[in-house]
Amino acid sequence: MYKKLCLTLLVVLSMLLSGVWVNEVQAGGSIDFKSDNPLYDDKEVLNYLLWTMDEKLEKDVVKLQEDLGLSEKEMDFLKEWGLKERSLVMESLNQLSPQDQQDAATFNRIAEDVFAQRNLALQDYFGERYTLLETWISEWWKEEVDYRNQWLAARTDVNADIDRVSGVFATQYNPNTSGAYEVALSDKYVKFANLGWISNIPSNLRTIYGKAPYVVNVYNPATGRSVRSVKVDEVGPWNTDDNYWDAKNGTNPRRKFTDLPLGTPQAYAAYTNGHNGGKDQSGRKVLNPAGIDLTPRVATDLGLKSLQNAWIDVRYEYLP
Amino acid sequence: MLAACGSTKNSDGSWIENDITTSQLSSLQREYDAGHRAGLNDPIQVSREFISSLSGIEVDESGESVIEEQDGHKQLAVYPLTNGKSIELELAHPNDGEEGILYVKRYRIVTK
Repeated sequence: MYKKLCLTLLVVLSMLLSGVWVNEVQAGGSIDFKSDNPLYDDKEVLNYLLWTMDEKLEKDVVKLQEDLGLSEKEMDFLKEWGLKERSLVMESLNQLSPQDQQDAATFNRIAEDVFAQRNLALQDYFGERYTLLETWISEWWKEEVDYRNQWLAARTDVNADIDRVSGVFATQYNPNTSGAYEVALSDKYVKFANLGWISNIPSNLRTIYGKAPYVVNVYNPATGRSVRSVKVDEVGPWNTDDNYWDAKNGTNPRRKFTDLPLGTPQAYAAYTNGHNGGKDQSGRKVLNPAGIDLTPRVATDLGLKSLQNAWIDVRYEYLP
Repeated sequence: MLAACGSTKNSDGSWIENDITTSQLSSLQREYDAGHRAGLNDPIQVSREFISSLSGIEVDESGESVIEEQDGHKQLAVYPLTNGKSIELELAHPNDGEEGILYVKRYRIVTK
């Protein structure tokens, strides 16, 4: 009982003073500890590590279990928190008053609170071994970001508009029409063109977006399965004006985030490299690095399970 | 989910309430907060998806739509229709809040 009371007080304190707490950790000797360790940088790090279908990440999970000698029960605890990282942010927002619950600043504060709560739960569960987990995550993250940046750079031709990006982080979403077979990309005008909303496309872009329907082919290297000619009928993840498959000087110039390499979704750059302060074009903290969103039916055809993420290959050659 | 829960049968210019539920709005807000369906706070996308869900009317793509701010953090979207009339949509945030996703609170079809 006493332990629970202390934990609750700690959660409340961390919610009020999370910034101070992190700064104290930094002052404790680790240089730039916050940015070095995703546990303290408001990211869905356990979801990313434990719920993504990817050969490298799956090996990382095995290594995590071996390095720290974690039992299956302890791994299940981490996986459970991987799902909670995403769901608790939404549940916490729903508990606020309507006036407070929907602006970007509140969203960001809630995300901070949830991740502080996660860290306290991990500390409580793992006790003295939490430090080992914390260190492992920090070292793995540095290695993962380096690996992923190089992995992606090797797959991208930066000289021209690209036909294909090998290595786009995919999440799953519930479409407007239940059971729809579609994907979402972060360019709203592709959706507008596909749905015939021509009058809402700026007149200077109507010719460029004038050859609908626009589709993509998607390949999941982890399963060898692919889907072809899937319509882009939704916008997201995170951004609405990030046509990252277009060069800044190409036939359809990238509208936003032209400082990023061709083929790099802004959400990826925000999540892994802190681009735009780690926020999307609306000012929300980017909690995962997704560059494409799949409906459950498309995800199933690619061999993904419910709520599972993946690094996939996408052919954009039919897009403006 | 953004589909209208009404119809176009009241074409006399009176407002028709959209009876989307709080639970449905919460579900949409959760999707948006997880980074999905990033157009849910865009008045154009919310309006167009709603109109698409109504049967028997079609937006005149050669016409011009207007979206204007109103009191109480609401917005009014007006789209010309191919039948010569217009549809007006009142957009609001859930529970009449100030920010976040938008939804069509009520709509009406009027003669231009």
